[in-house]
Amino acid sequence: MAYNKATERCKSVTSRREFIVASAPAGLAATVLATQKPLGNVHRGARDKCYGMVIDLRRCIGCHACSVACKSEFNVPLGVWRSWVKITEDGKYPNVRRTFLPKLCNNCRKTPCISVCPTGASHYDEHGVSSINQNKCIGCGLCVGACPYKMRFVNPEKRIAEKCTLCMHRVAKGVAPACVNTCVGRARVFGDFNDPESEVSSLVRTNKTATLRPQLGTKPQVYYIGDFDE
Amino acid sequence: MPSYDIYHLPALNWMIALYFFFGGLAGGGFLLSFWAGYGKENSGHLARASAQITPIALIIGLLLLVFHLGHPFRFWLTLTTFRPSSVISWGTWVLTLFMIVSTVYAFLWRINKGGSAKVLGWLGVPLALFTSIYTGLLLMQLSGSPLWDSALLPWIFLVGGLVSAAAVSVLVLTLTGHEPAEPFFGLKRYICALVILELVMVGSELVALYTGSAESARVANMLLIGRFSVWFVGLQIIVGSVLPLGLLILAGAFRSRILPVLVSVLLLIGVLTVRFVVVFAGRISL
Repeated sequence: MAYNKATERCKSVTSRREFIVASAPAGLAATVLATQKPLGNVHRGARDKCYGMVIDLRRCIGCHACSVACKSEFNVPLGVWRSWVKITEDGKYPNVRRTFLPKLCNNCRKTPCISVCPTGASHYDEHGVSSINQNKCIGCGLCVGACPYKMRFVNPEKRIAEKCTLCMHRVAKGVAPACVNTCVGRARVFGDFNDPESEVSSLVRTNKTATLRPQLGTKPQVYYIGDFDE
Repeated sequence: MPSYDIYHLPALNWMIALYFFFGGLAGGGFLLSFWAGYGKENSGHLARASAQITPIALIIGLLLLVFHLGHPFRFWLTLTTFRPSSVISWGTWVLTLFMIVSTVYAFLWRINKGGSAKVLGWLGVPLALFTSIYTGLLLMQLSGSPLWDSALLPWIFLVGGLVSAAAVSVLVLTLTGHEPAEPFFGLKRYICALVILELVMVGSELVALYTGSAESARVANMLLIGRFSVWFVGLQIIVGSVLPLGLLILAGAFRSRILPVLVSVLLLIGVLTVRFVVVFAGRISL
């Protein structure tokens, strides 16, 4: 298990030089923006957000409430899951323990699932979240195999690829994702990593965190606090 | 230590395995026809026969490919976009072009315009090569299975495609009553060389799997002594490769009608098994 530094997060997308070049016309942009209607503080619908999750494994009790809430939120058919909890049993009687690893789409910044899509159905949506256009998906299932975390599946009823969307329909209205909302131990924390004031940013700053399979270079945006076994 | 996790498997099924077979047959058929067209004088009927096989195999393969999709009637969406990072996107465009070129090519051979067909062949060869290796490239894009993450896979599929095309050509020519000027219509050495090459590549693949991680060694064990051993060792290696190779070398000089048919059928069984083993063993080892 490799521990990541916070530098792997979205801010690495903009280099210092790019920032200086981009900020030159900022005065002009500010003038234009000043004439626009003020945007809500919940969600600005632009790529300046980097949504993700911090999961504190020390607080997960393995109740699977998140898996159930997700199933009911999206009416996910039997046999497939958008989010679930992996259980690992360790040790030998009487010294045994169980560890839990809640899983969801990692909202990677470099996604193999988007690059293999032949029709462009898999894309980054206006929230900057990796998502699937239901009307463009032909159901070839290549993204299911390409995701190194096996987070995607072909919906057996709709016969198109589906996955966790980080509950963008809820977030856009200022409500936390279903799994976060239901988490009894407050193990799951959702937020914007580009906002230094957000709870997720502060958790990543003040804790040692790790992501799943960081060696693949997919830049996952789900950070885990605590020990886990992949 | 036991763990309980969710595994979403990619939707690869028997249709994809059969498509791999027909795609390889189409690509191999075109290459064989092109090669035979520039070959000796009496190889004209071989070039003709394998040219006819190509578009037929390709249309069957394309139908299988389209109907394995969750939404077959949305396949045109792949033709309205081109995404360079997606192998399927490349594949759709190349297969469409290859379909057109190979149909015209087969038609030219049909109306005995071999000369013009040969010129068109130069355009078709890169398309045929891509069609043959495309299936392997497709599997390489999927992550996870050590059986699919192999640079040899596209080339194993290419050689298999050439073998199957030779086998089908021999079968068609024999059954339509052509008298071979040479045993196996001059294809004996060609088939032997390809089958040996395929065995060598499969052998190196196994060595690579055994010297890799514990996971890849587990896959190699599954093929050699595990649940796929009947298919891999029995059908693919012994029945599909070693047996026809032995028959070709030992009995190839005999002028009998049964022998070419028997060898071709065995070779086809071998090539078909490779596809099914790669798809299903790879799927399980994800």
